Amino acid sequence: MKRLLEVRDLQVRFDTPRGVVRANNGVNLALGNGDSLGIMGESGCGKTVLILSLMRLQQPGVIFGGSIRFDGREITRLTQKEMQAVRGKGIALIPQNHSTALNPAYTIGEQFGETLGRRQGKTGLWQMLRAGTPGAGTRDYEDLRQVLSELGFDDEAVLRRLLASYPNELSGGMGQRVLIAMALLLEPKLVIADEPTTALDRATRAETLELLGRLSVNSTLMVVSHEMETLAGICNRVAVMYGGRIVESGVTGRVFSDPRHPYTRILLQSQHLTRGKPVSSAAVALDMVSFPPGCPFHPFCPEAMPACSQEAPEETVFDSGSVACHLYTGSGTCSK
Amino acid sequence: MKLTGLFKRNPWLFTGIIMITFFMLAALFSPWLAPHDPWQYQQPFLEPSWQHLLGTNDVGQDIFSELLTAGRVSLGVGFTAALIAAVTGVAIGILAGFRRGILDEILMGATDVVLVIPILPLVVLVSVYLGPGLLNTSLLIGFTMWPPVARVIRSRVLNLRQAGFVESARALGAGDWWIMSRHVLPNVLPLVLAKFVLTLAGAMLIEASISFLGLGDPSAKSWGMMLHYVFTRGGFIREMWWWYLPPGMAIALVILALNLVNLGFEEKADPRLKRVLER
Amino acid sequence: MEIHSHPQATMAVKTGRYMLVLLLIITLNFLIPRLMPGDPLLNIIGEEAYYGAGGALETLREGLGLNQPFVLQYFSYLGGVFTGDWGYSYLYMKPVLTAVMGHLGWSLVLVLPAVILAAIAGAFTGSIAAWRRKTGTDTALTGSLLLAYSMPHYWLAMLALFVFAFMLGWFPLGRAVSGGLGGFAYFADVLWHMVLPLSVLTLSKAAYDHLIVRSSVVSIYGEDYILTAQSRGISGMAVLFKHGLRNALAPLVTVTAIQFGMLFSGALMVEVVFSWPGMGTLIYQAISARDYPLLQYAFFIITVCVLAANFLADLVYRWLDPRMR
Repeated sequence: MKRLLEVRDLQVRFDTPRGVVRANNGVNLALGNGDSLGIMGESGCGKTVLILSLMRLQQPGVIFGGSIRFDGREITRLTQKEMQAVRGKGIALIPQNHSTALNPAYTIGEQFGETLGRRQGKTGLWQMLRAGTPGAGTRDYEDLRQVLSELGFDDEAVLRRLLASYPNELSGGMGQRVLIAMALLLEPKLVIADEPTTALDRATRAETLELLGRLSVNSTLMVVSHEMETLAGICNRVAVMYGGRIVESGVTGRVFSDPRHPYTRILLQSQHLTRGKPVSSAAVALDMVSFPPGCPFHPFCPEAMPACSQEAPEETVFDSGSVACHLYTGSGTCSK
Repeated sequence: MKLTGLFKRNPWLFTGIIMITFFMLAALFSPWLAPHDPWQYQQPFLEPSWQHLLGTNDVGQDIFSELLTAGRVSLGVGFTAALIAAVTGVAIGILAGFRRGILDEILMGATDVVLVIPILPLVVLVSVYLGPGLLNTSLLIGFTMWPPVARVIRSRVLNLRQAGFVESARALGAGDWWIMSRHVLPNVLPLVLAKFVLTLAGAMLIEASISFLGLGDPSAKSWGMMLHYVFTRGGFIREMWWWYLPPGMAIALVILALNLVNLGFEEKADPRLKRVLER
Repeated sequence: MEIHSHPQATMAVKTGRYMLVLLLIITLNFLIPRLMPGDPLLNIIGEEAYYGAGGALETLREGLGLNQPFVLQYFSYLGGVFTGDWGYSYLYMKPVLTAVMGHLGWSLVLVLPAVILAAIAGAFTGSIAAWRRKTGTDTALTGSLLLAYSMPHYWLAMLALFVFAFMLGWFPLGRAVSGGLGGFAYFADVLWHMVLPLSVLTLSKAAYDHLIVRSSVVSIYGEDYILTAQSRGISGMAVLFKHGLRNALAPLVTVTAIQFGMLFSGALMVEVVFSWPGMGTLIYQAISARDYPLLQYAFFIITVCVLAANFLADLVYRWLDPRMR
């Protein structure tokens, strides 16, 4: 089966006032049609940069190495115009926070209008300026109504009110659903959700999880989150990220019940303790500017060996997963 | 080379500082750099030559020497005015932001009122009554330009208060004046520097305009006054570009330098970096 | 280029503030001649009139109410301002009100188009420069506009006059009309005279707008909604103008209002160079003749215009920013 997305040795670098940050330091992953892959990691691990790079929106960062093959094309070598065509229809993004991700100057309806216009291929300035709220009775309006009713907006009056409101007037749950709807309307090949549940409260979280779960059945999905619960509910495979690399990947059930990489173990433990609440565990926080050679995790690793501080471990591939740890490479004892 | 490194990091700032330093030095050393006495009457309306690099004006004074000396006046008035504006603005800004309450309301009300008054017409009006004089002009300009400074300083003071700065100092028993001078002031100074640069540019422009209109001090020629004479004594009509180009260019370049420095101060890092850094 | 205003203050508060400013100016105009050294009568009617009046001096003094108690004088002065009794100009031999209003119109003919054209041009170049920050395009645009902005308005005017009128002869040497024309030809003639002064004024102001917009758009590009728009796949231009510039418009309006005073002042200077019959020429001639009433009321009416511009900008700002509704 041909893979929809294949990332090989992706290197993304940022020049910051404090120094160079290698946000992605050799990322490998693959996604097939119909898969739903979760990217798990804490703040600063590079997961956001990864998904932005897939759409070449990582500026001011620079992709200076590696390859991204999406739908048979090499993303890193596309021109601006070609890349524009991929964004939206090829890959669509569901941003994290509706209150910052939607332009506060336009109504929800107008922003849906823009999305629908783009779906038809109208992307130029003049066309975008003329794209307004879809009028009742048009094909666009029907499509919009259908998608939104599947997401819970089934009442006509509610719908009209929604289209007339501004982003700052929406609640967390409503906003999230609007963002999901916008991504779906574009009919993309790959949907990427960035921390879909982080900005929500308990109740809305459950609702959103359910929606996304349904979504994952019919589309190819990539979900970035630090929450185990979210990923367990939606993704069939998960990849754990740390220090700009994927340190472990595999079938979700297996990774969560029997983690191989020491970092994964610590991460899951802390999630159990805090019941999935966001924890930026200072104990394992990495200074992305100046981390030591070798495995990025070795200063914090309870099972560190001499080899860990010298050489970054290669990925060892298993049946349906991988792990990047010296415990599993030739230079260490093999456990499990 | 360290210098090229500095240039690359902030080209606007670097260029601006070099330029302004050049002009300040030229102004400072003008008595020694000027080949002639700028007040000495020689042959009028001469074209540029080796003897008179920029020719002579309508009363026979060497324009090049005039140019150098006038720099002192223009920069001097500008500096004085900007200094007055800065000191007044800082004082008012700190008092208002620190004390809050009625004092804040009154001071900010006054600030808003003065802020909205168009500066040039006001300065023209009062100058006509006061008569020419460098000190008068400097004071006048200075006392109309403090509102933007006061505003910005007050905002910063309010931020500092929120940051708990003030609370902790108070908890340690420090008195108000102590806090204002020892804690608030040092934190506010970098901001003042940026504002000072802009105020200096504005003040020089006002002085140049006043002088052009004929309200300058004839006993102390500034660049603006030189332009006044060009315009009113037939230099412009006679197409004496060596007379009217240099003073204008001097003003333009100094103000450009100041604006470059200001732009340099304001150029912040790419805001998209916050996605990678602020975690 | 920071924005100094409280958009959050209600319109009522702002209007009150503007009224206060006007009152202050009027009071200032009242007090200055009476408090300055010398005979208040001299300070009020100006030098030419004073020294030329001869025996009529005392009659004038009586007529202007200078022998009355201070407070009474103030209120009658106040009344005079609002009824249009602004005194007499000996320079133009007509009432100050007529002289000032006649010149004001010509100034507005330059200033109003300049504000609008500059805002449009500056918004456009500022957006492009922000989008292409740190490239040659930005350096060239921002650098050259910064240079234009740094030149004294009147000097830029002199350069323009020299190159385009003296040397190339494309435009007239000054004034607003050539005389002797009527109807459509008159308008065309005025437009022809207007090109140079308007261009100079617009260029200076556009530079400032450019800097403001550039700064705004750069910071807006760090916002999440720009990323969202880009992720949809709409064109770079659409992102820049529909999302980027749109959100930078409100601050631009505020800044334009605040800078209106400076724009007007710049116009005054440009008018002098071009002999354009606006407030600039009025003030220039009044200075030479020491016609104080003219100067006072010129200051007054200019301030009124500036306040009106601020007021208008407040209204537009509220309309642009939906968060304020």
